[in-house]
Amino acid sequence: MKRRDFLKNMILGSAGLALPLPRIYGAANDIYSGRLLVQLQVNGGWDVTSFCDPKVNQPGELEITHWSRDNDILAAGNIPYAPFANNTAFFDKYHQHMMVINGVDAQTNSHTTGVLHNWSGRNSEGFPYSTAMFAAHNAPEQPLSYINCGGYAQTGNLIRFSRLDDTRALRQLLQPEMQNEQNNIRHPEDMARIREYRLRRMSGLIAREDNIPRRQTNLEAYESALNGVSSLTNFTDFIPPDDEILDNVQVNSEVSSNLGRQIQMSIAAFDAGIASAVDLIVFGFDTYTDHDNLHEPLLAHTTESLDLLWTLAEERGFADRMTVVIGSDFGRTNHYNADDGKDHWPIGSVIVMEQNPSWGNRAVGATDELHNAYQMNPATLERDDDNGTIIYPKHVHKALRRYLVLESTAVDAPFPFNNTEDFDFFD
Amino acid sequence: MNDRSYQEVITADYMMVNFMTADILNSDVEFETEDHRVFLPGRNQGQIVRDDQLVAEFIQGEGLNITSHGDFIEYPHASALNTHSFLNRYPTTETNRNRTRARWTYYHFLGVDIEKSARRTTDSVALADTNNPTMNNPACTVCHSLHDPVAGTFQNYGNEGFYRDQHGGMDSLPDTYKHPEWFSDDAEPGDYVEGDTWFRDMREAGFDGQLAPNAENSLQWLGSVIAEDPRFAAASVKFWWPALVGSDALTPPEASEDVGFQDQLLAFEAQNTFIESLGEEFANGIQGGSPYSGRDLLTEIIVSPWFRATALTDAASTTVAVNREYGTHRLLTPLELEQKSRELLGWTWGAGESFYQFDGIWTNLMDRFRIYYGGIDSDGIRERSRALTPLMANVAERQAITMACPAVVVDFDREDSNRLLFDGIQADVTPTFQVRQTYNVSAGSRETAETFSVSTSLHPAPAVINISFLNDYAEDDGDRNLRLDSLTIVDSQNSEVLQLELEDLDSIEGATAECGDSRSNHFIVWGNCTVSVSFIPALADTFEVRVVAYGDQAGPDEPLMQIQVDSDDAESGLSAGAAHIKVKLVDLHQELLGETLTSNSIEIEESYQLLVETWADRRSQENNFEAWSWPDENCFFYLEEQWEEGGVAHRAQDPHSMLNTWTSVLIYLMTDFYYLHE
Repeated sequence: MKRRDFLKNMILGSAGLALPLPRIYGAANDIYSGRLLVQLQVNGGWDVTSFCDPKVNQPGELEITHWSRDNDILAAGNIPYAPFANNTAFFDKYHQHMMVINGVDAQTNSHTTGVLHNWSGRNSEGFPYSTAMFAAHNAPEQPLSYINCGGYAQTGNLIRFSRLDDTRALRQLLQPEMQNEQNNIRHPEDMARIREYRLRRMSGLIAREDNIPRRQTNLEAYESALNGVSSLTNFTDFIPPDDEILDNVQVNSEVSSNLGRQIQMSIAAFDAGIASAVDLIVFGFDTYTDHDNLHEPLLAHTTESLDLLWTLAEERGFADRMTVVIGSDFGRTNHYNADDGKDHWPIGSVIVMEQNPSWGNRAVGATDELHNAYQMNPATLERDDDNGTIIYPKHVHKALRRYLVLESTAVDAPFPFNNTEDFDFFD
Repeated sequence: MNDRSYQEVITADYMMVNFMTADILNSDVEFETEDHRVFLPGRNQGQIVRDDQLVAEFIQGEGLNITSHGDFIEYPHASALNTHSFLNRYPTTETNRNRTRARWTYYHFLGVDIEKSARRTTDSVALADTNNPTMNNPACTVCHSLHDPVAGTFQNYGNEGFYRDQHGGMDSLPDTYKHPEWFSDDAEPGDYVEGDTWFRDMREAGFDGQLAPNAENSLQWLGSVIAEDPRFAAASVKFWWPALVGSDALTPPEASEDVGFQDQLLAFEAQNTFIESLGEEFANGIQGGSPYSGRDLLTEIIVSPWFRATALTDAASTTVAVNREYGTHRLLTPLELEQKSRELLGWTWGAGESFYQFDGIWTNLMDRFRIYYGGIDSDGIRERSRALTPLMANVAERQAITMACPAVVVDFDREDSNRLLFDGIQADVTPTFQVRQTYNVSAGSRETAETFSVSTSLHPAPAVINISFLNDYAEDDGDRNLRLDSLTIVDSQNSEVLQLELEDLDSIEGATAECGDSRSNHFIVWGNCTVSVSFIPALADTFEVRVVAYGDQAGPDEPLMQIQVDSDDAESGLSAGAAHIKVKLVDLHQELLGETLTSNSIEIEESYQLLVETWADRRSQENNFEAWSWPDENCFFYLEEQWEEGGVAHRAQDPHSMLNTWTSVLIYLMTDFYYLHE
């Protein structure tokens, strides 16, 4: 079965297609079992008018969506969506488990700033991504607490991120003294002795009073890394066998995506209890030309991959602990350019998903027919042209921090959202 | 070559090519090596355009097959700006119109981040403007008035960076702009006029208020004016800053309400003052040197406290953020770590030929584990990790574990003068070793027995005298044996402190024999084994050990006897062997970690104790005859010949357990903070 067919079957909910569970020989002693946070960065600027903030063509205006020539907006529960890509399958299956926040204004047409703004809540450097804060607060001692699968990662110096890539190579790293399951390269007792001496030397180096801060920082980072490696050993048992590792998917003529593999490895790390937060990334949404033909398979790939994420989390028994946030740099223009592409548009959307949340099956925030953001009342979440405010990423992040119990913690205090309205997204 | 002006980075009428790119670009540059890291100046003399003579076919799995083309054009070199790497690193689109290239030109060569200057200026209303906002809307023109003229100077380069890539090879303007009517029946005629090379609905090509005089060479012109811009020199300092110092040059903090804003501002100002000042010197000639000497610039950064600081002094600024930016001990990149290990150990970890690698070589740190060790893929991951994570620590450990054993075995197998790490020490020097001497025993009877002696200094701690028979022989023509009559030890005053008749060996406390038997007036050793006798000096002194022995002569050689004195207290580190080992540890700490220590340093004592514990453990194991013990250990030799019959893998006997012991020490050192950071 081709990978693409496999994913399609997954999203249709076919039974028996789940990936086999990995062998588990044992569990780590100090595994993380708290809440989990996943951010999916849809890189390049997605067209939410063909997704979760659907718009139809307006008389006298440039065409905003080609699909609306012949189709109307659809709805799954209370969530309207565009009849485009695989949206129907996705929204039908997950509308109860999601909240769509539309009309989020990134205030920029710069990718760099858009990414920074949407994932840190501020359009200037210095604030960490929510995933970094979350991991630093919940599981700073875990060896892969914060996994970043690519793209940007602002940590605010709260925590370091790890990357997962080649699984065969990864296996060699999890137990570096092992040649294979039967044989060692170096005797474990020797390695235990070396590691004990190394940690002792590290303590001595760290205790030196004349350390310059950069050396001190790097010494502490290494010591922290060394203290975390023992938990990695158990990760081996959670990694899928090589022949079950998902290959890259050629999504469209320009984009080859490894999002499936990112999800597989993230799920494995969650399952092993050594990670708490993950940044996933899917590239290629900057469709300046031939927008619909390039965007459609990208959106389909994204929703299919989200289904894979939830399906695997359900299989491993931690779907009820997982929060998923999906967003992008910004949106795309309310008209097509001369190349049938769409340029940058500051208004976008954010989707938050959980398993059967009280705030699910809702679309909040609002935009007009040409995808301009309305001012919203933070308390009622209704349109309020007089006293409301445009929703900015800072509002989303402030609400998320509160919801994820990060507000007023040590990781939150250095990065306050001053003069920022409280939106009751999660109440 | 080495004294060229650094301005040529942006003004040269050539590019740097290696043997392979020289071939592709028809550069006509001779290379004496096929090392991809060797670059020489060359020109692109193989550039064609899409003219009438171009006949090409795309063949799946092979690429574009060009069967006919027009003349090669005179490529208008603009140094780095129109290298294939720059143009492809920053591709453009029909709507981006070279703005990305302009943005990074500003960033790399002028130190200006245009994107940051736009952060707070745009709102959705402004961005909804459809009346050519980059020309007319103040919210957009604030940046685009600077940005777009520079974009225009890239006018001759298409989306993928090819020179005048449109049909006819006259320009790089897309047909959607030139002929909108081809794409929509309703389209208004465009502004394009035949012969144009740039968009008429954008600002003209130029820089900082000046117009590029000639579309043919606008990018060359841009390079020449940037090179004379006062910002270029400081931007050059910033460009090299992260490569040398290990962190980006600071940018001013942006939000005054941020925690630590004042510290960060002070840090930025302190660093920026240095950078600006150095930039000014760079432009005028550092310390009387040539203007724009790249070598002087790098040297000046390296000798500055921003690079060299190793310790805080009272005089140092107390500002935390400033201090944080001083000094090195930054994490080595995968490439740097690979090169360091290669230089020290003599080969590249996991290196093998690979058809698919651009350099033809596949290695562990640069390929298999590059991303895991915080490296980049130049695609989704473009920034190297600057601090170790658990996974990265395991990469370093894996490297050490797999390289250490062959490094030790191969190095000890070399002639001493050819060794990379273990010169000046032999694999039989153990922590207990005091002295060893080997003798031919010529005497064939007790009456003619000889006295063999060896001297050594001993401390008042248990010592062991080991007498070994090394060349047992038993054939039809005879049986060679060693016969030991007596053992005497005298002090420096020639006073006898121990005297033993060795036929009494069984009754001597602490004496052992691995083989042999007592006879009426001597002890016979009939195999290759050792007789050991304990001795505890009352005082530290120089002692002479005397052994009276003779042998049964048989076969071609005389009996070979070895007398070795060992301290029985390895941990004290007082033996001659311990002293020798510590000297080698001092060497290794210097070579591998850059630490200048002495034998008495705490760090050396720690390394020594690790060595002693490892060695004692190894001595207690049964399967300890070779440098590694399969299946608990393995040794990954890196050349086929090393595994072949007669190769070093077959000469890895380790009777004193020191090859195995040094392997552990090397793993320890190769995973040390100072090995991984410099």
